Amino acid sequence: MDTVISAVSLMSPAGVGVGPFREAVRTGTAVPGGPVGDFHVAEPPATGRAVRLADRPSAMALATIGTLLDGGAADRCPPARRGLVLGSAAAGIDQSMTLTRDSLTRPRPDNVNPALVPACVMNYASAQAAIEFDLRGPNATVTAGRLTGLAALRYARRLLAAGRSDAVVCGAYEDLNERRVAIAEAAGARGVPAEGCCAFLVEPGERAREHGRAVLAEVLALETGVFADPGEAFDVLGAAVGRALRAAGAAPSDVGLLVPAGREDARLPGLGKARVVRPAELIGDTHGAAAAFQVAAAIVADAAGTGDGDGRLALVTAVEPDGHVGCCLLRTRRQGDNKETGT
Amino acid sequence: MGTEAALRDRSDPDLRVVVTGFGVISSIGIGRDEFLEALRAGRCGVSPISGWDTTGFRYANAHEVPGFDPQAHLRRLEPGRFGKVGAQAAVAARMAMRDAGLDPASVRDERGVVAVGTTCGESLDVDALAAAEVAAGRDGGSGLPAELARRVHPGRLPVAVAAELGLTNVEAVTIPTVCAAGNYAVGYGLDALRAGEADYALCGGADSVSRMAFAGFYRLRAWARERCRPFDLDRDGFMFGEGAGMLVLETLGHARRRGAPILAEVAGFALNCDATHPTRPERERVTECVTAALRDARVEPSEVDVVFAHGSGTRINDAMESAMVREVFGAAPPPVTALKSMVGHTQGAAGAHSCIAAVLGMTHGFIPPTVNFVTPDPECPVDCVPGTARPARVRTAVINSLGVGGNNAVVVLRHPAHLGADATAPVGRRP
Repeated sequence: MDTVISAVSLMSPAGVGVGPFREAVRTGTAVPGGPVGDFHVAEPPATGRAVRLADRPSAMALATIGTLLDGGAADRCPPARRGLVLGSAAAGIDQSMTLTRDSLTRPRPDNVNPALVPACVMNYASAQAAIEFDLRGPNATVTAGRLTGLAALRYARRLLAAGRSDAVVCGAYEDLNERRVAIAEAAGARGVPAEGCCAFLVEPGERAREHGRAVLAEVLALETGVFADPGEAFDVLGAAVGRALRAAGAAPSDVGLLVPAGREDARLPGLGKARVVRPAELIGDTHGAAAAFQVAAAIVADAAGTGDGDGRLALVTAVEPDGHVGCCLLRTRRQGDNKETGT
Repeated sequence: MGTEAALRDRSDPDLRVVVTGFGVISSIGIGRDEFLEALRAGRCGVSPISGWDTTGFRYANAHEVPGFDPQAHLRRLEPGRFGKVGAQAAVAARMAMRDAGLDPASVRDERGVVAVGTTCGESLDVDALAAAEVAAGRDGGSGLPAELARRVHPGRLPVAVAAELGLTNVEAVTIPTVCAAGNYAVGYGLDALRAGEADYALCGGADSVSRMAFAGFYRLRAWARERCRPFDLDRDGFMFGEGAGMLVLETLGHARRRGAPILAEVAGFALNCDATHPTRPERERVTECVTAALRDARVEPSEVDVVFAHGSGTRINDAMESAMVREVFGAAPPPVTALKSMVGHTQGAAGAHSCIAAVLGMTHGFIPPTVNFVTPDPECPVDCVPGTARPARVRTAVINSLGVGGNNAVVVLRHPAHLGADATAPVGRRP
């Protein structure tokens, strides 16, 4: 079974929507990270469904998924066959710290905001999205630091292969808040903190074509590994890249576009000919959304004359200092500039 | 495309997925022998919370694992590098590998999965960061302790497991699908193995008991005052527990080639989502999920010997689950037991703990009891095996789990006898 991405929706520090991000990627114009300036958390629409507290991270996820599905991508899929895999690296930590802080500082330790409780755990956005968009199939939340987007894509692909879903909404998000910045600083993380959310529609290629959706990218291989000692990271990543290329029957020189998380490409041999796009240098460190933005960048990075009818190979490589490394090999298709989501 | 396509490829018995070992840390016992003895004795691991200061709360019991220092059981992870939850997952994984007779060094070049479910992740470190913030007198300010900041993210849990075992060629993921996450992790490993994308999988979950969770659920009046009493008329909520449970899953072929003991088959799995209400479970969806898992296992409801209920001890859950059991199994359902009465609600580890209890029940011929049960509730018309373990021939067990937010995940385990003596015999030693 071939797994494809047939729609993409996102918001980034460049702005809400694919357009501003595509512009940043294609022109190489960096924005200084930070928040998604033109996204404001509104009260949820009065749909009669039980969507309650609208905290920023889940509001971002819901808005992005809403745009993804606006084109009717889920309409012809029975609710029980609609999957969702969503993740972030830190969602709930800010809310949990507020709750603990209130318990420690208020006159009574139980004087905490009960509405905050469900948002302290990581599946809050996934549950809200299921309710909002009637996604009754598999509903999974994943986290793997900056590799979360790849972990979500791999989970989505497996749900499809196992026949557990017909189509999966797959995404990653991270909001910007003071505590996240303080934790990153204390941990010695480099990079300009930024927020954002990416969502993809992932389905079998055959299904996309049946439903008249353009294939934006085929997911050819997805390989990951773990390192215990930072000195091992590049060896483990190199092995994962080797496995991915072998699985796709490709050589390093076949890779036309390379989308690394940082500067790890300097340690990967044979990829020198590929054009390189570095999303983190364009939009900042989106933490749990980072790898999803790399996949989105591979999709939108089409430059005139570099793709042909069969598409080209794009390699996303990711390194999470906490110990995850991985890569995703995509065959991307040229997209017209006016196709916002590809639906 | 659909379930049929996935089922078609399961004709080869060597591709069936089996449990060959497990590791367990819980309030009623650590390791196979202690846990087995506690299950048989019907021990309840409740005690006053000792991990942090509960002054000001009128009641504060939980199922902690007091006195357990995971660091003392770790060989490779240096002290302080991972939080207590990650360290517990790593210890449980090490126990599981030993239990399965699988030397980590021997699978270093094979393809592994490490899937760790959790609800609150490194919740003790999150609490400690909040306390550091308070001590510093700033709101969301800087100057947090570096060690805590470095280890607070839940994506680190499977890294702790892999690093402890010296594994690098692993697909590692944390599944924070809250209180159904342990079953999610088992299902994740099952699908990876069925697809031929892994040779072995370490699956389970880990959590602790934090101030954040206690204060929140105390405030919501969801935390039991004294004890968790599933299916009892006077039940008054759940009670979180600490611990970890990890299982070693392999394809039958992989297990046979190395002559491993087959403890159970992971015969089926299903997951779905209520998509209606964040905290009120939807019986219809749970029924569909259990039915789908039985179908995935190709098991008839009448073949099921025991249901390990989610059994959280809340008024809504236990009544809903009892009705679901009637719907799936008819007027004479199998016994329905609630492990949370003993180990507490171990959150992301709960599904794994129930799977492990089911495996032990199969191996040793008994059903663990629902303890703390005093008064039957007409809304829970199930045989919950009250008080004492019951000798029983357990061939097929359903493990149900629900997560707040409407996440349902069901595992079906079967006794290895179903695989046939021929199929389970080590390669080269067939009868």
